[in-house]
Amino acid sequence: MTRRICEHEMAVTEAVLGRRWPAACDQTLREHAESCEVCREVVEVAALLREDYDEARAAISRRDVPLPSAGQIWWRAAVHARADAARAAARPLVWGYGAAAACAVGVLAATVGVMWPSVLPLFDGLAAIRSRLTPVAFTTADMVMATLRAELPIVIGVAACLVAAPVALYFALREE
Amino acid sequence: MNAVALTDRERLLALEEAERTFPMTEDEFRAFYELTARPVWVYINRMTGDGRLADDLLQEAYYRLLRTTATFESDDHRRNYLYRIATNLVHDHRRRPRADREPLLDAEREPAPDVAGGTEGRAARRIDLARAMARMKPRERSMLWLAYAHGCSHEEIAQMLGLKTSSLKALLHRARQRLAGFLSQNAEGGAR
Repeated sequence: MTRRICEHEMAVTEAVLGRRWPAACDQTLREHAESCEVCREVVEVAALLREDYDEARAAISRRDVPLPSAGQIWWRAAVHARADAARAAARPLVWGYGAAAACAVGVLAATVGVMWPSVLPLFDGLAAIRSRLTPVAFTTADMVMATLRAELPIVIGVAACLVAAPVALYFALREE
Repeated sequence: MNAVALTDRERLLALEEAERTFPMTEDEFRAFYELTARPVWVYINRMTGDGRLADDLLQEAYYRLLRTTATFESDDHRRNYLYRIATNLVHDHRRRPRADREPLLDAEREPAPDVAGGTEGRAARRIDLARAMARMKPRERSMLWLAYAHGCSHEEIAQMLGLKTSSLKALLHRARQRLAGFLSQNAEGGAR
């Protein structure tokens, strides 16, 4: 694409945008524009866009919903700015809640681990009940007991996480 | 702007804070808004083709202007910055998934009531223009509109769009050529 330049381009643009084109502008400029491809293009495009602009501005007053007033914009911006500031100030607290909840889960899991040896004798009481069960029930109960004995700390930890995670999420996301 | 929940007292405090923290007083803002709101709305409307979206983006643009930490040498400088915000908002909107977006030819381009005749011809020309503009690249659309509808200088357009003044003339020239080409294609298509 070759680049064409005309020194009268600005003058022609100003004449069109100033609504002096074609009647109220310089005769020599008009004659030039008739013979210059660049200026003809400028006239065509500028006249159309300017007309569209005038129409769009006039259309604002015909709209069902007028533009908001300066006071409304100011008011909404003020309220919005305050809400943003409050949100920004609360953000560290939200993270604090999340961290506290995570710590609580950790402490709970650790406590279960420490207490586990003292909980084990309770299973001996359950063993007495097991001996009174029928053979089929005995097998099932035995399996459950063995699983519980081996995996209980993990099960309790997972259960604690399942309870605590939604609570932590709630605190972390409620401001959003 | 999103809806926010504040108490009445907080709202009053918000107004007091606004006077302290915004870079201009309410009176200065009112004067600036009266001067710029309509042209900026028209600009956003023509770039997005959606009047309701233009309402939203206009509010967001002024909000961002009020929250900026930039300093302005003059109202013209501030106005250029506002156009830059508006341009960025329009571009951000365009980058969203298509389901969120509205068409570029909107209902607000309906012909105006016929007062002096020639309405049909004018409406047809505007529709041709809208179609041709819709085929342009977003930056070209902005450049052409600012140059030939608003009558902004090359320096102002460069500031508004974040371009180099030295390259603007060539870019504008190319955009104008493309638009003229699309317009003549439309005219040939209409004549057939």
